[in-house]
Amino acid sequence: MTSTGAPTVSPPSPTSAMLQKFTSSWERRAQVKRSGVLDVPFQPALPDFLPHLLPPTLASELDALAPAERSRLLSYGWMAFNQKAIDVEHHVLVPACLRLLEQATEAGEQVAVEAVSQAMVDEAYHIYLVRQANQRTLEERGLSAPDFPLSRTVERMREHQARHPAARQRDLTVIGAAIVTEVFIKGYLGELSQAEGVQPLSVLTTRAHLADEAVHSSVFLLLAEQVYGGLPEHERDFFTEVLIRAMSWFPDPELAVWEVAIRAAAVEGGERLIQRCWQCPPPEVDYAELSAFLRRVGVGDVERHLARLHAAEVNLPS
Amino acid sequence: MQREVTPVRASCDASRAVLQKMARSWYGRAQVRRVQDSDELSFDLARPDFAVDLLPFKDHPRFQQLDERDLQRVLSSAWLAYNSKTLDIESGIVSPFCQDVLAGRVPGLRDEVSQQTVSETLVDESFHVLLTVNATNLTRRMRELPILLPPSLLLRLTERCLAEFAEEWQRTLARLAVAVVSEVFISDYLLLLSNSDVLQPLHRVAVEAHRRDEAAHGVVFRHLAKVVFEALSPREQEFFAAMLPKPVRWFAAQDRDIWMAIFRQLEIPNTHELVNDCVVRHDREISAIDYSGVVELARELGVTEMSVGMDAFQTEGLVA
Repeated sequence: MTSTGAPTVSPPSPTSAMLQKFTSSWERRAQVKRSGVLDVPFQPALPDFLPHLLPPTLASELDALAPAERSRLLSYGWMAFNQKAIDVEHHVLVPACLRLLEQATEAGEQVAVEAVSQAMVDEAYHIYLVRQANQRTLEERGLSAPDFPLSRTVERMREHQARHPAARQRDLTVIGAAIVTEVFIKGYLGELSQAEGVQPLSVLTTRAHLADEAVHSSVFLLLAEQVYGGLPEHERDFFTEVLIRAMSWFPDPELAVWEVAIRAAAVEGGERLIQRCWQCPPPEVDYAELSAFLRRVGVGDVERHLARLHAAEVNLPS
Repeated sequence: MQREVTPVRASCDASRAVLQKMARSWYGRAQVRRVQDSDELSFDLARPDFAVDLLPFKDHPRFQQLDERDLQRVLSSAWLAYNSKTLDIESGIVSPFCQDVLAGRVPGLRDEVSQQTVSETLVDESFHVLLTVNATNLTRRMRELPILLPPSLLLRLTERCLAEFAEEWQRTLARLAVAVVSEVFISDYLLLLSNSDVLQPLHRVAVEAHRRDEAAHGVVFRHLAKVVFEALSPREQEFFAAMLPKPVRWFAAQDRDIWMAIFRQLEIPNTHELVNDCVVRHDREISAIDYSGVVELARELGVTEMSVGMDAFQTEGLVA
C-alpha cells in the first residue's frame, strides 16, 4: 500500500536486522521454556552463596563465625543478592519493557516490539524464578523470611524521576536505567553462575537467569540505539545524562539490604559486623561497554562525564 | 492505604486454598511452557483473518456492498484491532495490576501464595503479549497491511478514569476492578475466535493457547478479588463496590475511533455512517452481552448487598 495517507512498511534498518537475529532464536533459548532448575536436589552441607560476593569487610569476618552462623549468613546473603535482582526486574526492567512496548508499537517498529515482548516474558519469569529460589532456600533451611528494604538502585532511579517528574522524562529515566541494568547484571550474576562447591539451587537458578540476560544486554543496547536515534536533540541530552548517572545506580553496594541480612542471620557480634559492613569501599565498576555504546551513538565528552562520575565515585548525587 | 483488621471469613480461607492449588500447578499448566513454535502451520492467504459474524456492522448495507478485496482487508484489520485490544488489556491493565501486587500495594495479597500466583500470572500475561505481537506482526507482513491503530477504547476509558483519582489506593483498586472484569470477560472474548472453523488456523492456535491460560486466570482473579475485598477497610470496600460495574460497558463498547482509523487507512469511503450506526445501536444493546459473571462475582463479594454497590450496578443497567 503506497498511496497517499497510508503508512508503508519500511525496509528493516541495520539495528532491526540485528534485533531480528535475537528474536528468531528466543523459542530455543528462553529459560522459561526449560525445566528443572528449581527442582534440583538441595544439599544442606553446601553453602548457599559465595563468601567473596559478600561486602568485602563482611567476607573477611566470615571465618571467625561458628559453622551454623556462617551457613546462615551465607543463606541470607544469597537472598540479599537475589533481592536486588528481583527489585530491578520488578521496578526497572518490567516497567521499561512496558514503556518500550508502547513506544515501539506507536512507531510501528515491529521487530523492536517482538524483541521487547520476548524480553518481558523473560523478565517476568526471572521474578518468578528468583522468588521461588529464595522461597525454597527458606523452606529447606527452616529460616524465616527477611524483610529487605527496597534496593538503592531502584531508589536512586526514583529520586532522579522525582527531580524530573514529566511523564516523558520518567519514561526515559526508567528506559535508561533498564539499559544500564541489562549491561551490568551480566557481571553481577557471572561469578555465582559458575561457582563450584556452592548450593546447586543457587548456581543453577543464577546460571539460567544469566543465560537470558546475556542476550538481553545485546538486545537492550540495540533498542537503546533505536530509542536514541528517535529522540529530538534536547531529549538526547537528557537520555545521555540518565545513562551516565545510571552507571552509578546499579553498582550500589546495597548496604541497607545487607544490614537486614546480617540481622536476620542472628550471628554473634552481628552489630559489629553491620558497622564493618557500612565501612565497605564502593565497588569497582566496569564502564567499558556503556562508554563504547555512548561513543557509537555519537555522544561526545564521554571521558569527561566518566571522569566526573569516577571522581565522585558511586556516591554521586543523582 | 488505610488498614483495618477485618475478620477473615470462611470464603476467604477457601479462596486462599484455591490460590495455593493454582500456584502449585502453574509450572505444568502455563502455555508459555507448553506451546512450541510449529512449522506445520503456515499462513493461509486464502483463509480470512477474522469472522464476519463478529463484526458489529455485518448486516449494514454499506458493509454488504464491499467487494471481496476490501472485505478481506476489513477482516484482517478487525483481527489487528482485536489483537490491539488484547494487547492493551494485557500490557496496559492486567500487567500493571500484577506489578501493584508484587510491590505490596494491594491489601490482602502480601502473603507468599498470592505473590507467587501473581508472579506466575505476570509471566502468562507477558507471554500473551508476545503471542499477540507475533500474530499482529505476521498478519501485517503477510497481508501487506501496515495500518496503525489508536489505543483501544477500553484502555482510553480506564486511563481517563484513573487520572480522576488523586490517591494511589484509589488508582490501585480501580485498576483491580478493571483487571478483574477484563479477566472475567476475556475467556469468552477469546472463545469467539478459537471456536471459529473458517478462521486462519495460525490465529486459532494462538487464541486457543491464550484462552487456556485465561480460563485459569478467570478462577485466580475471582479468588484474588475475594481475598482483597476481605482485607479492605469499609471506605475502600465502598470505593471498590462503586467501581466494579463500570468497566463492563467499557469492555463491551464498540470502538468508534478504531473503526474510523481502519476505514480511513484502508481508504474505503462512505463508512462514517456505517460506523456511527453500529456504535449507536451497540450502545443500546448492553443486554446482548453476557455480564452474568461480573454480577455473580459482585454477589459473592457482597457488593450487591451494599447500597453503594447496588446503586452502581443499577446505574450501569446490570441489575434490575
